[in-house]
Amino acid sequence: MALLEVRGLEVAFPLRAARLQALRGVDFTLEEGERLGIVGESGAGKSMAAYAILNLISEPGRISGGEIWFDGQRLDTLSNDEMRGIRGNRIAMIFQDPMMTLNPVLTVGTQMIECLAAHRTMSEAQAQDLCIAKLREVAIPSPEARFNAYPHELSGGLRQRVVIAIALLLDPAIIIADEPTTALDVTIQAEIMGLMMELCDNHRVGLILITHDLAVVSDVTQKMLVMYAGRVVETGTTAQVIARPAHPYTRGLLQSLPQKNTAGGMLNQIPGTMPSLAAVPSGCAFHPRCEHTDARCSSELPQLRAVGRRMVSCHHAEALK
Amino acid sequence: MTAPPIVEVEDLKVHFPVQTSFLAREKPVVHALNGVSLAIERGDAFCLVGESGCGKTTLGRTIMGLTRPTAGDIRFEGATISRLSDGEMRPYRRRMQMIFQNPYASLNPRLTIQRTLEEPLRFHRPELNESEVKAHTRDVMVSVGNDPEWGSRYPHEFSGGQRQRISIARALMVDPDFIVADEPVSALDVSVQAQVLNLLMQVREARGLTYLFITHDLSVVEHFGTQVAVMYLGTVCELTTPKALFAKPLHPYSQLLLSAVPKLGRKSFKPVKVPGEVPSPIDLPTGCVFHGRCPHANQRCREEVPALNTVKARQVACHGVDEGRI
Repeated sequence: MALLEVRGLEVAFPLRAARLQALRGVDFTLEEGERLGIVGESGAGKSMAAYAILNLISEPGRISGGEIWFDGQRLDTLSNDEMRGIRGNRIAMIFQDPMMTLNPVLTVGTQMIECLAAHRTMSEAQAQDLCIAKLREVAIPSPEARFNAYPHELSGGLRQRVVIAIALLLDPAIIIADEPTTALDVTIQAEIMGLMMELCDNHRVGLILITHDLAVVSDVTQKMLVMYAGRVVETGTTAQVIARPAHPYTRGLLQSLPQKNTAGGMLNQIPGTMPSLAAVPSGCAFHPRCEHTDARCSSELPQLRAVGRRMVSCHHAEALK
Repeated sequence: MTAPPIVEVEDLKVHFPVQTSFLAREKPVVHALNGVSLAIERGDAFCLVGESGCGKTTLGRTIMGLTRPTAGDIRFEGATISRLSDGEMRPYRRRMQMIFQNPYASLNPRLTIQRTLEEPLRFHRPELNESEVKAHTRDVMVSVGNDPEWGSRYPHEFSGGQRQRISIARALMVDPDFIVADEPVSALDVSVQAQVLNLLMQVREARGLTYLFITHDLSVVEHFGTQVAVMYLGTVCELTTPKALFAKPLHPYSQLLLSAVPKLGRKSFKPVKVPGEVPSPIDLPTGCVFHGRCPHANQRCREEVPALNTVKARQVACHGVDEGRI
């Protein structure tokens, strides 16, 4: 069994006006030390899928179907107290904006020790040594001095390194990173991504990278998941999906990226926009924007099935290959 | 005699005072722009790239007259506009328009789309009567592919991509010659980004527009630009065509920037190692602003500010390139 297995995951927000279905059956697995990318546009449900693993979905949303298995344990039925033993401890999370993640009125050291104290028993001196060792591991210059610094005294890149050091503090099996470099400049993004890949390899930590940037997914991950309107439309090895996308949506996304060979010409555009959760189209949710649509697409929901060496949810996947 | 460039910037400096105690002897300043010179020819899609804090937005705002320059000149078709009063600036404002990054913040939520679009027209062309204004609004909306019926609706009824198309329509209302677009697609999703970039290209061709396109996304530059200036800490380090820059960046900072861009489908990813971080724009480094992080820096780089010199049909500000070391 895989380290993490998500089966048929559904998340719903029962509101007064309507019941919004944010995830409509999501399946994926993550092996030990594997790097998985989840891509999609705003509203596709990529963050929701990751938050559901840690039961971090905000009220009134809740997991309304499916199962999440981690290391032989079922996570979606755990109580909040039991979940606390997993969060930050076995599965760590890194968010987009390091300034929002770190507490501005506490020093880096206080926040790190707080995290250790919640899950381990050790002396103050031991804890401090461990924290400084982790800060050194994420290549923060003069870690002893930074240990006593406040977040505002650090640059954006250093802050995200501190967040990574905190995530690694308890030797988690999985790190979930939600757009970890979107707020950073490209040179800093390259450094942070390089660092995360190195650390995940060294410690055999699994990584779930959530991003809208296909190029980052291509550089960093081994396996990828493309989401659209709360469902997985395509998954496979990253190299395969990028080189030969099978779902019309994946293909459209990749072709709409500005690149060298598009210089001066028009970009291929996908007409329309992602549907709102309140009005997901019937059948295949992508059918109103797809050029290969026929009657079946608008009536029957395509299931994720093997096409060649990947999984695609499109009625026409074989014909389009 | 050839026509002057549509916009020309010469040795432009913009410094912002930092708030300190009023008893403080020294008044520190943020050096946002430190002597920028460039010329934008008619029909160009001139791109400014660089990381946060490099001064690209300040340069765009200063050209538009939204920020006062500390020193230096800005010329529009040869006429100096950097020291004009608000009244004298007005005819130029009609010819220069701006598109902002965030279409959620740049449209007034209390005005209907029709009111938003009419406002610049009523201000700059008061001679038009009611039906002419309505007809013109309709024409512009149609020309950018928007449904003219949108006019009676409010901004919150539209998606990000639609709002950005409305912002573009607003900029086009007064028939400008020159548009500053500050990260116009950065807040949009990939599939919508392509729609907006295509629209910007179409209207440029149809109306003979000139763009100053500010972005941090190098792949957009490669696709969209005709000229590109790479900026670092308030100076231009390299100015050339996107084709030449992507084929072979000469300035060490351009090389660093390009190597850091993630790419689709490459076999192996070797992350770049960059020594240090961008220095503070309050205490600028002496000599070349990049010397502290440059692997090729020597004594001259630490002492003498490099000029933007022409090397191999492009402009580069680097002693190493001048001397043939790099």
